[in-house]
Amino acid sequence: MNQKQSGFEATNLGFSYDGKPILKDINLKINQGDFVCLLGESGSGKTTLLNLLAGLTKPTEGHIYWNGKEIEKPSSERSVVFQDYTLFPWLTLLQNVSLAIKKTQKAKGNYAKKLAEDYLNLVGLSGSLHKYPFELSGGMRQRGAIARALSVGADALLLDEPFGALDPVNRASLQDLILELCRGSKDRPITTLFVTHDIREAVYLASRIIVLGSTPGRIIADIPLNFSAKKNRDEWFRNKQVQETIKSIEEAYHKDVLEKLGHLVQGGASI
Amino acid sequence: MRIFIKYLSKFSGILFLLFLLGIWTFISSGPEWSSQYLFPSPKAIANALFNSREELLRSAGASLLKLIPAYFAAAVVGISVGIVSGSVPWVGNMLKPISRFAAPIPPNVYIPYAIAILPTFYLSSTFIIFIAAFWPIYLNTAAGAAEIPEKYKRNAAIIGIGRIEYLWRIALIASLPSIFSGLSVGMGLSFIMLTVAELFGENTGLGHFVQFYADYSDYPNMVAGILWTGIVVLAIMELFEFVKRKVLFWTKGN
Repeated sequence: MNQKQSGFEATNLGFSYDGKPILKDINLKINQGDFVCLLGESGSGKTTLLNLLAGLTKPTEGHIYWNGKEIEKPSSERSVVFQDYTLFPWLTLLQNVSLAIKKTQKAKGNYAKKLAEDYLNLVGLSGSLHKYPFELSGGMRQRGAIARALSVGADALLLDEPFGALDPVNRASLQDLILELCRGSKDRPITTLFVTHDIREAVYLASRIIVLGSTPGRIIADIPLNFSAKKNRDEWFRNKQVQETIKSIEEAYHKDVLEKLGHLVQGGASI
Repeated sequence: MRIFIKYLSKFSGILFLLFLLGIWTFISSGPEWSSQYLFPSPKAIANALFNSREELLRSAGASLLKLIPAYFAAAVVGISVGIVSGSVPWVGNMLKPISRFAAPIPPNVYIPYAIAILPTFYLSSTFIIFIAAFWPIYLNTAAGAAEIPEKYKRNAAIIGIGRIEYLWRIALIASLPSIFSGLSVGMGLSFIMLTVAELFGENTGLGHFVQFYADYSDYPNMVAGILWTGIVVLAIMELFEFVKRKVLFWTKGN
């Protein structure tokens, strides 16, 4: 595989539902190891784009590739974490993760269990291996879902507002966890696409931010970020450069909204 | 006073039963407008329960021998066909017209035909019980499998669970809550059909016991048969609820 082909690539990608365009003319390249945050308002097609990359939905226009091959169906190479907790409720944490490992890694019995334990330790759940999802808090379930997503040996992790339903404290600690897991490992670069509508979250996490405008969803800004290591969260957010970045993204957002309003006003005046 | 009311409300069920028993005792004690013959005293019924204990146990055994195989067959067929028909659209569409038409037919109207075409009364009773239990189990299972949350399907696809494996590993388990509602309705209906079939033509079982003593106007034994049937059904339903709670433990908080 050559370097040029690794990662995601979308060419003239579009998706319509019931004749209504949701996404239009998306041209995008995400390199292996990138941590991309996808920002946009509700209805901008963020989730649709994520589903297309996962292979859960098929495009109605254009093409979409993973490592140079057209994406046709879901695969354990591209693992997904959804906002609503998706561990199987009838299995314990350990059973959930070992099932995923058994199915994808061809690992058997005790070895799969051992691997599953390692992944659950990694996300800080070593004390809850035998608990069922209904016995866990939202944050713990989402840690479990992340462990399962990583355990299948995925090279890409697609996260759809994974921390949207969590309280601020849990949210912050899970953000640090995902950073450590996805951006920390040099020997196994994971390509990450993280959907959120929280600008601060995106700036904190991403190595690159893509902003989608709405109706139909299209890319309105593509911003590479290169911030220093995040040691102290509060201090980091006070950094002038960080604040300017947040401001410029807010402006891109507002510009899109204002332009749309402008169209509406013009349209109204011409009647 | 408050404490008294609290206790009263706690034991109101038992107190009401005792109250009904009192009324029954009064009616059977022979006021002029009543008949001691048609309303045997609680003591006479208790005696009948005790004296006929072996026959009652045998009758319960004979009834269960019809109920259990028929009910289990209905459960196995209903659940497996239901899972496939709820998960695979073309199978569901294929079975929809026939289930729409056949499910609402009251199973007792099959009795004369079942007796005519099947060689023994035993087979006709089990057939009727099968029909009665099958439809609610099948329909609930299919509905449950068709309504499995998209998130489970997506996760199954991502971790590489194939189509066939999906049926038993995900669809079957995720549909268990609706399967159990079907099993419960099916259980109730199969009890009704069991006793109806036994009242008609069987010469064994709880229904037959009641019918037999009614024919001889032995009302203490007949009422004892009704009470005993209630006890057997209650015991089985309690067992069923126990199993259901054990199996569906994971639906807590969902």
